Amino acid sequence: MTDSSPISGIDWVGFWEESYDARSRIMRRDYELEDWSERAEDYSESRRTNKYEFGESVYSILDLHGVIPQNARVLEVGSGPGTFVIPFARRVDHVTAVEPAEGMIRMICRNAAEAGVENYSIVPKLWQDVNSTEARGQYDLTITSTVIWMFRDIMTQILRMEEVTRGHCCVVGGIGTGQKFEAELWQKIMGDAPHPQYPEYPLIYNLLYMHGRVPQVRIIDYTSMRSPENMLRMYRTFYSIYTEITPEVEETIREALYRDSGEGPCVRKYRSAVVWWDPAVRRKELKGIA
Amino acid sequence: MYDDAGVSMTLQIDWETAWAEGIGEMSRLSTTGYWNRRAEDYSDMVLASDCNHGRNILGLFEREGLLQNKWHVLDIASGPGAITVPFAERVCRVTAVEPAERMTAALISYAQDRGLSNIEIIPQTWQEVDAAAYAKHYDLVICCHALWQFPDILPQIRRMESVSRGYCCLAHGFEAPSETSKLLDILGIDEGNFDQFITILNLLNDAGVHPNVDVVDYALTRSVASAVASTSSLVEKYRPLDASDSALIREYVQSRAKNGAYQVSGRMGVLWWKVA
Repeated sequence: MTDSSPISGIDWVGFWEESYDARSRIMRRDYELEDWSERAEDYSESRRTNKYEFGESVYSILDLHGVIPQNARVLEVGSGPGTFVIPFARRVDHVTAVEPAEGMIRMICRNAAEAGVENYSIVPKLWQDVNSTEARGQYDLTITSTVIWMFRDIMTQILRMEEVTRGHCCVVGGIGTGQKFEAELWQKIMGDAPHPQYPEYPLIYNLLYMHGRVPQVRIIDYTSMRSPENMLRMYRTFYSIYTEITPEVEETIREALYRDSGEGPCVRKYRSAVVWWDPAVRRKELKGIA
Repeated sequence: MYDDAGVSMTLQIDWETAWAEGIGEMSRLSTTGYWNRRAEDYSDMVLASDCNHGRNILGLFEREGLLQNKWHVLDIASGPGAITVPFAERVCRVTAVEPAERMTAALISYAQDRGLSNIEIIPQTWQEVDAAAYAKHYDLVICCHALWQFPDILPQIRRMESVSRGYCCLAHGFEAPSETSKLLDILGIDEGNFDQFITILNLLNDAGVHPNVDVVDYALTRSVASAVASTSSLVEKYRPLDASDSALIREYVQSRAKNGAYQVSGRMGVLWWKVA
């Protein structure tokens, strides 16, 4: 009775890479740091919604499960506008934000000043350029959200996240909940071109599991509220990766946003998976019924 | 770059078929008759372990701040009460679905010993239970170490959701006790490497159910006689047991027992979610 089921031979890493490559094939240009600076304002507004509801939820979950020790030092990979810097720094010793985009760095500083948070520092680099060997074991938690889709060499980057922690790692990944608005807008602008994939969860769980980790998961629902101007900025940047932003494209986005939310702010409901694990704990190969 | 909309990947795997194929042999061999034969040794283990894995699942819901005294819990394939008993000690009422007569007898006896009178039994398989009659009837529906009974897994999970007004919880072996795996290797018994846990997790996610995942340690304690009987029954699922098998099993268990108790530890994967 050997395992002849289709799941035994799945090459999860290969699938991840294929997903990345398929996205690259339909891009007319690569993401640049300026794109993220351009996105800083809208991204910050999104993360600040309901008093940092997203970051606060993640903190509460990790705290409840003993992932954040007293006097913790936290490293955030790809902080954006301070997604976890603000909610975490209020309760831990120090947060180090790895963030290369100048616009995002300005936003971290502004948000931190407003929140009265000073116990943080910024490493203005791409995560891939950070020397993880020098930072080995210096943190109690390495955390990242909505970033891992940018890593084609996913397990290399996960291993580097593990290298710098003496405690836990956490990846917060978006769950595709089939947003109708996104699909319809894509179809209007891009026609039948395949929709790019940004796989995070549950693919990351399978990758970690197949590499022997013992990850735990909590699912969170949260809200993002952004002004129509910020939503337009987000979609303009996004679509510029895939097509030329003509006045017609911009008008299509405007119209769709107006139909969706009128003159008021755009409210979106999102779902993410908070996945955390202790790199020192490995699973044995399952055999038989427990 | 859609922020958290994170358009999901679509992996072309039919998880329901993968499950049905992977579970087929185990489901065929593990009949109600088999569990009637296992009732004695299994009950011994549950009692001697003080329902350790059930208590750990109870502890999970307690830690999350969800457990409420007024809950009515449905325990599917309860066996002698590893889940039913710890929950019955804490909540208003527990209904146990269990078709094997000797298992229900053990459960009744165990509950009486504990002075519990808030347990009722539906003596059927889950497939036979009329779910429509219990629509949104329970606060927690739980099925622990028994999903291999359901080759048609997703419809059965949907039925579990239909009788829940609160949560559903599925628990599986994440890691079998290494002592057990070693012994089965020596005996040449291959139960297969079909990974129920990861298959169910992917199947649920694919179906739009996004469960929380906990990995929970547990310890099982049983008498030497119970451990020997359990392993012997397991071998007999696959082939007749001969004298050398019996000697080997006894020697293996006895040499690892302490004060007459044989203890192993493993990990459960617990998948749970709030029913919409």
